[in-house]
Amino acid sequence: MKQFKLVILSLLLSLVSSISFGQYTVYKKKKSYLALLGGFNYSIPHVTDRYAVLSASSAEDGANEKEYGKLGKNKGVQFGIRYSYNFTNTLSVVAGFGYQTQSFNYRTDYAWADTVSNQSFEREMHHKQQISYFTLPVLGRWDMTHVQFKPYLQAGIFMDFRHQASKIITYDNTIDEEETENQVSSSGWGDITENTRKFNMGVMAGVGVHYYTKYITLGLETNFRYGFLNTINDKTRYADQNGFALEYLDVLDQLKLGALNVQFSVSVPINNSITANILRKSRYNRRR
Amino acid sequence: MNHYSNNFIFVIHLMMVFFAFSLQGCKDDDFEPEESFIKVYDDQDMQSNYFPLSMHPTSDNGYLFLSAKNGSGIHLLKSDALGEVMWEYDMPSNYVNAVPNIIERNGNLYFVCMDAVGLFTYVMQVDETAQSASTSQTFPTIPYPLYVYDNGNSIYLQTYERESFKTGVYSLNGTMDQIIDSGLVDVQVDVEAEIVDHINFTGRRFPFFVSKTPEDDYVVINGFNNYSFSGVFLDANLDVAGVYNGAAFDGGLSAMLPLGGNQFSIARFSYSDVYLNPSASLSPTAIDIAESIPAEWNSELDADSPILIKQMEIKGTNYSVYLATTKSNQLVLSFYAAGSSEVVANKYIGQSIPLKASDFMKTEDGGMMILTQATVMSSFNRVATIKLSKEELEGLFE
Repeated sequence: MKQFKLVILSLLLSLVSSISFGQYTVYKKKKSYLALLGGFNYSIPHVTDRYAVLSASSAEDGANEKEYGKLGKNKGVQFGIRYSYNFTNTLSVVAGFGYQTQSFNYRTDYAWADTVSNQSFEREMHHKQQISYFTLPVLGRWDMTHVQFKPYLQAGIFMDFRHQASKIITYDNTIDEEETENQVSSSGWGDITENTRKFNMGVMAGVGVHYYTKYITLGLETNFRYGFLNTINDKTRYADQNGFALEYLDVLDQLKLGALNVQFSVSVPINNSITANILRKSRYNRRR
Repeated sequence: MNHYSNNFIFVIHLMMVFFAFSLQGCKDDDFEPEESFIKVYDDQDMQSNYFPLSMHPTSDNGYLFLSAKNGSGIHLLKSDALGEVMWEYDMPSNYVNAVPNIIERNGNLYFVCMDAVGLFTYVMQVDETAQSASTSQTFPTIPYPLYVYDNGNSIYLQTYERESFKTGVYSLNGTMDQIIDSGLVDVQVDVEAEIVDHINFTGRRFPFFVSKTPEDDYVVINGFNNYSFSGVFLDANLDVAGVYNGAAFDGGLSAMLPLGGNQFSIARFSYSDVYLNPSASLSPTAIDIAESIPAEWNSELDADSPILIKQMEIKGTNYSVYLATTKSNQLVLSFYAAGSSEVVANKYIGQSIPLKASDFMKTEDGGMMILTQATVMSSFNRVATIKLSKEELEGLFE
């Protein structure tokens, strides 16, 4: 992880050091670009309805509620391809096709006690879910500058089509909010595809920066996306009578998924960049 | 300009696709949470041990569950329509040995149990407002209640007369406070020890039951009779008309559903083997051997766990539905079309957690509610319910 951060940092430094602000103006009006992009994301589950298999009249309010993991634990990846068309030198529309995996984690724990013999039994479970989607974003983008180094803002909508979903539960017999290494066992990965909704849609918005060269454009962006529709299929929530529900006392809450993503891109003009002549001296551009 | 308009049209098309999908996405939200759920009713006391017996729907679309707790103790649990606990009640210790089933009369719910010391029979009325149950009637001369049956018209109680070694059958009136008729079946041998083990869950649980033919001409009891555990047909006066004798206590009937016209869906046991016949022809006046009733051996069912048979109409077809427990502690639902011995659909429930069948019923919304004992964390026997939606149930026949 540390090495990865160093690579990113050095890439950014080399990018910044190579920038010569204002040396060239990017002329990309009516030009189209094709980009490859990939990166990572952190999911933010927004729980709307809570469900539990275990029910007890003596339980305190919220005793059986799941404790969701923080942003940093819900890591996923995404990659894809994007097409952009520039209406002007600063305004463009971006549409693409991608594949992304989002994850979210939660923890449950249960305890039983025998007051007579002063014994107890504890079970702590760590649940990790992964949902993979084919995604279609459509964004409007505004470039803040005309020069090679272009910060930009973008916003738009997306449609997600579920591909697959799976989960794994690791458990131990000590309630300490972490996996107790010498006790931990695992359910193994199980399929929960039918427990999730096939389709989702939402909005996304973000900021980024492009660095234009004659042949390629390098980019780094971050977006926040939020799905408006429920992630979990209500009809099949308890349909898993043979799997997690009874054995692990587990049922998925209803939730909407948000995510913060960071991704890198490499784009090329669809038409030849030299003949497209996208980089011109500002003076030259003014004469034109 | 032409270029701009083409791109504008492209964006409009994308937006239309987006909204078409979003409308489709919203369409799936017509599901009510009470249609399908799984609940395990927990008790954090490690020593608590529950054995669910019966359930009944309540007027608020919830359910009442009757269970044995820690042996012969009695536990009532009321849930809402979603299966969430509304209240629980442990009967005082002088009330023990609740028997299946819960009876509904005039909007009131009743169950039958026994006095811990006097061993005589109580009829208890559930008070949903007070979240408890109280004595509705006492029958001081009727010991050891074993099973109560209601077909909507008649209520029958099976008991054991410990002093005369007889199985008793009592017909009760609608308010369950008077005995209309009674009959006795001679066991010939003292089986109190077996019954005490049955009541306290310290030994074998016998499949006692009472049923009645749809023509209302015969009452069938499954209980101790003539040195064996037998199915006995009684006539309208509760006199013995015929019998299917068990092989001592090691073979006999496990469950029976009278279909009418001398046709019965039955399950029978022989030692650890279970045999099923969803369309058996039995003669109420015959004296025969239960193990001679033609039936197909089912190698996967556990003979020591309850087997229940009920008639249900699903998608316009009548089925004899069996709920049983496999030797690997799964539940299995088997659906047989009326008059047929061919299984139309099977559904297995549970995998790694031990489940034991207790009761099941079709619900008002066309789904199915299953009451089961679940052994949570491989340690704790708890009451559990599995509600299948109408869609899930009907999906078994596609």
